[in-house]
Amino acid sequence: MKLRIGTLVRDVRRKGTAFEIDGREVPCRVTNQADGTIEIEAGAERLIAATSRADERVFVTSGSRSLDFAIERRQASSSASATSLGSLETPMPGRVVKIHVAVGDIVKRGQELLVVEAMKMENALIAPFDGVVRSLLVKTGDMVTPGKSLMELDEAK
Amino acid sequence: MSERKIRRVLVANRGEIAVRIMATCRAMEIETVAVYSEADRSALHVRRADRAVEIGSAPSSESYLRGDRIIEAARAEGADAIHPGYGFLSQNGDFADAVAEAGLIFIGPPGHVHRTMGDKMGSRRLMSGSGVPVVPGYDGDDQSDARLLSECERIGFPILVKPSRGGGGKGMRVVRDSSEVSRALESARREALSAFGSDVLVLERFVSKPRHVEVQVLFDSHGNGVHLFERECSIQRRHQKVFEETPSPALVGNKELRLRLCEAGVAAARAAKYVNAGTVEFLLAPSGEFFFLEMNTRLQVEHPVTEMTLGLDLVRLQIEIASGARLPFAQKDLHPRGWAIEARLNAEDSHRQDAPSPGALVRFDAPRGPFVRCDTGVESGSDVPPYYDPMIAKIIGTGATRADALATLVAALRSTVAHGVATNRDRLLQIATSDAFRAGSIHTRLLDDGEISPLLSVGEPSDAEWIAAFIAASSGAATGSVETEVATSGSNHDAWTGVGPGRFP
Repeated sequence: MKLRIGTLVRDVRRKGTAFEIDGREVPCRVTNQADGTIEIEAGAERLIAATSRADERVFVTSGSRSLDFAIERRQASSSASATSLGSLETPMPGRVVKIHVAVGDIVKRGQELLVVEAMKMENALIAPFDGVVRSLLVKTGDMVTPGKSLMELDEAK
Repeated sequence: MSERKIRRVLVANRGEIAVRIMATCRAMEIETVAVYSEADRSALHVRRADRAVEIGSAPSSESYLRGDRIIEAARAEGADAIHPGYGFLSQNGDFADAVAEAGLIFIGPPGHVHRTMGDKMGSRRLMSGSGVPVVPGYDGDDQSDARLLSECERIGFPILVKPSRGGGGKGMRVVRDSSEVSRALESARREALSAFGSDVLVLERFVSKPRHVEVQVLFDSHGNGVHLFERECSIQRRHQKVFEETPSPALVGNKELRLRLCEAGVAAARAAKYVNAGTVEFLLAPSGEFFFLEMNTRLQVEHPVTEMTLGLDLVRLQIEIASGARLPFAQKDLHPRGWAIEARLNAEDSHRQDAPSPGALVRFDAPRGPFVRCDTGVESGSDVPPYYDPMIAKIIGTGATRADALATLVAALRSTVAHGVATNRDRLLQIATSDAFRAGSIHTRLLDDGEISPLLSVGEPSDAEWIAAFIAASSGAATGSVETEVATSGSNHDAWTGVGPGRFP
């Protein structure tokens, strides 16, 4: 099974009583408790972690940190083929309160493009690169959710 | 004022504070009525109440801010009092008056007190007239850009721009020079108008590296008032409190200053003809000078640390005062004991500039154990809606000493589990275990100036962490949504940055 965290993907498999991470065998001892608490001894490391799964996400929390994994179902297909068109989304649901740019505007990397209010906080969408606003897909007052494109930006050559 | 027995309380709030108020009501054998928005139909506070009324759609302007619907619900359900909690309508004088006019008891100060103190401009004027020190600034009626700019230049940069109404740092901006003024005014006004319904601003000299120390006061309706000592809330991020504690590490060794500050709190409240529980906030400069900041005419988020060191239930006292009772103690009877530290657990992503992270909380394990208190409005399976404050729990550690309380809090944070939404748990742990926090040498700019470094990005998981993830992925209930997009554009998120409350250059 391929698991992803951030940009990192590892292939983790069970192999008898041991596990394999990207083909490397990791001997370990596992106590799997009913309430989602997993205890693992792998080499010198001992981990007690609370775990959950929701759809294709897996959460692992120990006393020191929380990790949020994704189960990678697809083959790595459209990898980093330096896209020149940026489709900008909101990472959180909210309401568009201000749009600073219009279609055709030339924008600089780091420039504030629009503002979404979520949980009573204003969050600015910042241009990820120098470019030109190709399209605006929302207007002030619109409710927006993650996955919906707010605007498209052509990267300057 | 004659005593009026309160038998049924409507709680005009949501989340942890609604649940916490209902807990005291239950202990006092008072029935509770919850109100809720469409987004909160299955929320914990609704299920904890004896009765519940839906009052509108998800945005708070259509539900928790609809005073008319809330009063209507109170009447329909036979409530005799309304507790507003904090935020929402808690400091709205017109609402307090409307509640009284409807023949109901408002559990909090009367309308005129909210209007005087809830307005930063009015309260600054009242305080400076009553001998309570205020920060040099401008609180005038002329709100034109030109006047505000010239006042900025008179006071001297850096300047803090604040909405006259409101609190919690919303709409506040630090302006470092005159070129930034007009943009700061524009965004502060917009945020203030949307959050508090008023775009009047006040200007103050920005005090460098101040501590935030506040005094809890309690006044009955017969003119008796006491302070319940101070709380220090210096660990803030963009003016939002993150940790709060009592006593203040800055005052615990300086009895004379502590007493003067607490007495200034009582004097401020007395000047405002205060009734019920309130908090007077001060800036404490490194020099030992302190300045009145504002008065919060409501129960504070951080009230539990005071409760834990004094053994008092502030909600009970609020209800008793509202029903006309006299304070059951005098100042000389109050002796705080030990230390209490609170951390605010928020649904936000510490790796993405603290962006809010609403969604389904698939698992929540609240910390437990001796000397731990956790006030929360969520449980496993709760939804964290995008419309409201991101705070999901307050975790409080107590102990005989500050070191004991901190050790208890750290252990409690380590055992807290929140899955499904991103939270600031790891960030709280990082702050709580930092040298600056341990030493108590804290000030309000510690986080924003990076003196406690930002949370490091997640490094490579250990072998055991990969294996734990694999086991959870293999055993978890498969929901069949194979098409779920897992490779979303991570780089897009990096385009986001939190700007409010208060974005500093």
